[in-house]
Parts: sequence; structure tokens; C-alpha cells
Amino acid sequence: MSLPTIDGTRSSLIKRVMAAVLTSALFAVIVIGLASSPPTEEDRVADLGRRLRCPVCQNEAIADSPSETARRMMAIVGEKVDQGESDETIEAFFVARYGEWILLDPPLDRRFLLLWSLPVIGLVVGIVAIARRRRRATSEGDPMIAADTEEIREHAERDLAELSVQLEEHEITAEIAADLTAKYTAERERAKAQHRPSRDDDEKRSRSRVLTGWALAVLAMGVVTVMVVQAVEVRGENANALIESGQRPLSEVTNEELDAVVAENPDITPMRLALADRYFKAAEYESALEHYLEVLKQDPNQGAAWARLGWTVYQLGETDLAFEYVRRSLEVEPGRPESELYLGTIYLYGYRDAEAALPLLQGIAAREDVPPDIRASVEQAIAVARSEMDE
Amino acid sequence: MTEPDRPKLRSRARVIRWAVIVAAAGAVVMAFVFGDRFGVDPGQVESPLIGQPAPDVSMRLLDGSAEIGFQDLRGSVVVVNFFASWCIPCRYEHDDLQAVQTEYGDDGVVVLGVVYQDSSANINRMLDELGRGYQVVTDPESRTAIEFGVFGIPETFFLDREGRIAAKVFGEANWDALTSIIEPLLSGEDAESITTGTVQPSPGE
Repeated sequence: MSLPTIDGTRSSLIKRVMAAVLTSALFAVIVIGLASSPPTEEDRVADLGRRLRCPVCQNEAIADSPSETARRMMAIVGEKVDQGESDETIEAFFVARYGEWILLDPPLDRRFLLLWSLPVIGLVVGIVAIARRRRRATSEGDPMIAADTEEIREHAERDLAELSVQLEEHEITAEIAADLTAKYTAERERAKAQHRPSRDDDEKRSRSRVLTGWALAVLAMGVVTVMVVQAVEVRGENANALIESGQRPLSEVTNEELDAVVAENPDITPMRLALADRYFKAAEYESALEHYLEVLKQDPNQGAAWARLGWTVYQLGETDLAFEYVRRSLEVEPGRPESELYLGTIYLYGYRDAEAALPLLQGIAAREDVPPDIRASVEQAIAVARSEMDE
Repeated sequence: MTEPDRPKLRSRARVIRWAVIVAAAGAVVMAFVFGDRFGVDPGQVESPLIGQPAPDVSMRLLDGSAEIGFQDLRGSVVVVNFFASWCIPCRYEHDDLQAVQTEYGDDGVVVLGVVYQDSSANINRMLDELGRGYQVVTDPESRTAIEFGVFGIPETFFLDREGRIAAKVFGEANWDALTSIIEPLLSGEDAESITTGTVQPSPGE
């Protein structure tokens, strides 16, 4: 191995130092430049635009949304930046109008600090648990320590026993015996002290530790649940109570309620028709009859009302009248599938005329604009008509 | 050494199993909590503007004849209704808004329609069809809408006689909802905001 010359060492050292100085100087320039140069107005507008939520979109920033509202909001942000307003003032402007919801990244609420710090707490607890476990595993897992202390203790006991024999047989002086006794006793006590407690104690302790762990876990779960519920409800806590201002879904309104409303507003035909249809569907034909008749008195051009009136009276045993009403329905609304089905069915069952019923029913089945429930009834009726004709 | 090892392995498997159970239970709880709140419209939350003075904006009447601001309407209970021709519930509430202007006009109620992102031509066509029972102003840059924190339409705000934003109807307004707010405001009492349904954020939705 040849030693480098003094000159060579020095020049390479200087080069290296120079390189390091230059690199760090450049780095410092960049960092200082980045940190101290004020952001341009465009930067600020774009940045604010990314922090504000578009109120008419699904979780989108106003900077990213093409919607008119988002563009108008961007324009307002631009104006305010131009006027020299601070980011905080501009954000506050929108928060005052839309609530904190408008901020895509809402400020940390002190109430939920614990919630946010839970992952960190979990991590720390986990690391501590693993570290402890590992340490215990190594001390437990190293049988040398246990064996050593045991051996030392036994050895010391043996020495002590031997010592007393030697003393009895006057092989050593009492003085030396006292010295050695003290030494061996000390060794024995030290070994005893180092010896780990028995497994029994160990198990007891670990069980109580597990119990404590569980108790803590359950407590933590409880706290998390309560906090999550609170966190989520904060937005809604001021939510208005929904009042029933005629906005109840119609499906929840009972027949009796609707009947009362119809009675109060006797001239609103569509409402009465809806009520009649409800009775019709519930097979309450007498109630349906009354309302269908009233509907048709108010508006004789209701094809559906004529057809269902027909079916209603058929159910009440008036076949001829039923036939007449269903015919009226088809006059008002030719080709109405439901009316044709009733007509076919009245032929088939009312007049026992399968020959007349079949082509009518097959005509409906061949069409494409027939609702599935009517199609099902038509196909059933066709099967019956065919079997009747076979007999 | 094999003997003591076995129970240790078993207990580790038990710990993992319990951890999985706890995690799953946690996930279920979270799902329930969030699922319950899902679909709650942000606009259903009480507007932070309730109790604040009406914004200082100047709006041009639909016919272009004059500009008005909310300051000009001080002393009246003002019903500020954001609407557009592309908004279906807006059409339904139009009659009741006209009725309010007719019935309560003498008591000092002013209904003011604010056009929300729609052309004057469309609005004129709509009003020709449905009637011009109250004043309508345009809001070409959505400035008034943003001042009121509008999420979608229809949204209707109510100003008390002192010019403060006193209440809001989120969703389609109707006679009962409108009068349940107007009546107390006329007698100088507080009114409760109401949510009747959802709003339409833009023509396509």
C-alpha cells in the first residue's frame, strides 16, 4: 500500500470541502428563496380555490369544478385577492355564508383532538407492548441466566455444607471458616435474589395484565364511539326539524285520510280517481264504485275509470253492465290494454265465450306496450280460453 | 422447549382473532354512525346567516327598469326566493308565492324572486305562463346567491322588518311553510326554518 502524497491529500480534501460548501450554499439559496418569496396572486387564488368546496357539486373544489357557481366563486376569490384581503378573511367570507362545510379541510376542532391523536396513541402503545414482550421473551428465552443462578446457589450451598464438615473435622481454622461462610452465604443470597420468580406468579401477573388491557380496549372503544357520534352529529345538530307541510309521501296516507280530503275537496277529480283506485286495488268494490261514478260524472273521458268501473261492477255480479262500461272505456281510449284484458276476461268467464275471448287476448299478448302484470293476466286467461275450447 | 411454546402460539392466534373481531365491530359501529348521517344534505343545516343582516347587494329588476337592494325594503318582511325556469319544484311553488304577495302584501310582505343561473328570456317565458304576481330581479353573476350561501334551488330566505335574515325554507315552499314563517315575523317574533325536501343544484341534476 502506497501512501498518498501530502499534496494529493490536501487537494482532494479542498475539492471535497468546496463541493460541500457550494452544494449547501445552493440548497440554502433555494430554501430561503422558496420560503421568503411571497406567493403570486394567481398562486393564492388557485390555492384558495383548492381549499373551498363547490356547494353545487359532489365533494369537489371550486378550482376543479366547471359549474357556474364554482366559477362565480372563483371570480369572487380573485377579486378579494386583488383587493389585498388575506386568505383567512376570504375563507371566513365563505364560511359565514355556507358554514364550515365549505372548507374542504375544516380546521381542527379541539373537541376532537383526542380522536385525531388516537392513531398516535395506538402506535405508541403498540410499540411499548412489543418492546416489553420482546424483552420478556429474551429474558425468559435465555435459559442460561436461570440455570446460572440456580447453579451458583446450589454450588454455594454445597460449599457451605462442605465448610461445616471441614470445620467439624478441624481441617480449617474457625477464622477461615467464618470468612468463607460469609462469602458463600453472600453468593447464595445473591443467586437467590437474581433467580426469577416461579411460573405461577408469572401467569397470575400476565392474566391481570390481559384483563387490564381488555378493560382499556373496551373503554377506548366506548370513547371512540361517543366521539365519532358527536363528530358526525355536529353538522346536523342545528338541522331544522322537518315539518310536515303537505310533503308527506302519498303512500303513507291512509285511505281514510284520503277519503276525508276528497270529501273536503269534492271537485278535484284526479284525487278522487286515486282514492277510487286504492279501493279498487284493495278489492273494496263498493267504495270504489261510488268514487268511480263520481269521477266519471265530473270527467267522462277517463278511460281508466270506465274500465275499472266495469271490472268493479263485474265483481259485484253485473256482467252486462260491466261489459257496457268496459266498452265505453275502449271508446274513450281505444286499445287500452287493461280495458281489453277486462273485456276478454268478461267474455271468457262472464259469458263463457272462449272463442270471442281468445283472439282479443292474443291481440293484447302480441303487443309490446303491455305492462308486465297485465301481460301475466292475459297469458293466464289465454291458457284458460284454450283449455275451454279443447273441451 | 417444545412444550411451553405451544400455549404461547395459541394465545397469539387468540389475540389476532380478538383483534379482528374488535376491528370488525368498530367498523360496523362506524358504518352505522356514518350511514345514518349519509344523505343528509349540507343545506339542511341551519344557514350560518340566520340572524345576520341581509347582504348589501344591488339587483336589477327583470325588466331592467330599476335597481333595488335589501336596504330599500327595510321595514317589510321580505321573502327572497331563488328560482329558475329549469327548476321543477320552483314551478310548483310559484302559485303560493303569488298568493302570499296578494294576501300579505298589505301587511307589509314583499316577495322577491331572484333568478338563479337562468336567462331572462327563459324566465319571461316561465312568468308569462305562470303569472307575474311579485317582483323578480336578476342575479347574472350569482353574487346574491353566493351572499345567501345558496346550495341549489328552490331555497327561500325571509328577512325580518329590521332587515335581518330570519329564517329559510330549504326545498319547495308551499303556503303552509311560507305563512308559518311570515306570520311570526310580521308580529316581530322569531321564526323556525323549514326543510321541505331537496334542492336542485343545476339544470342537469
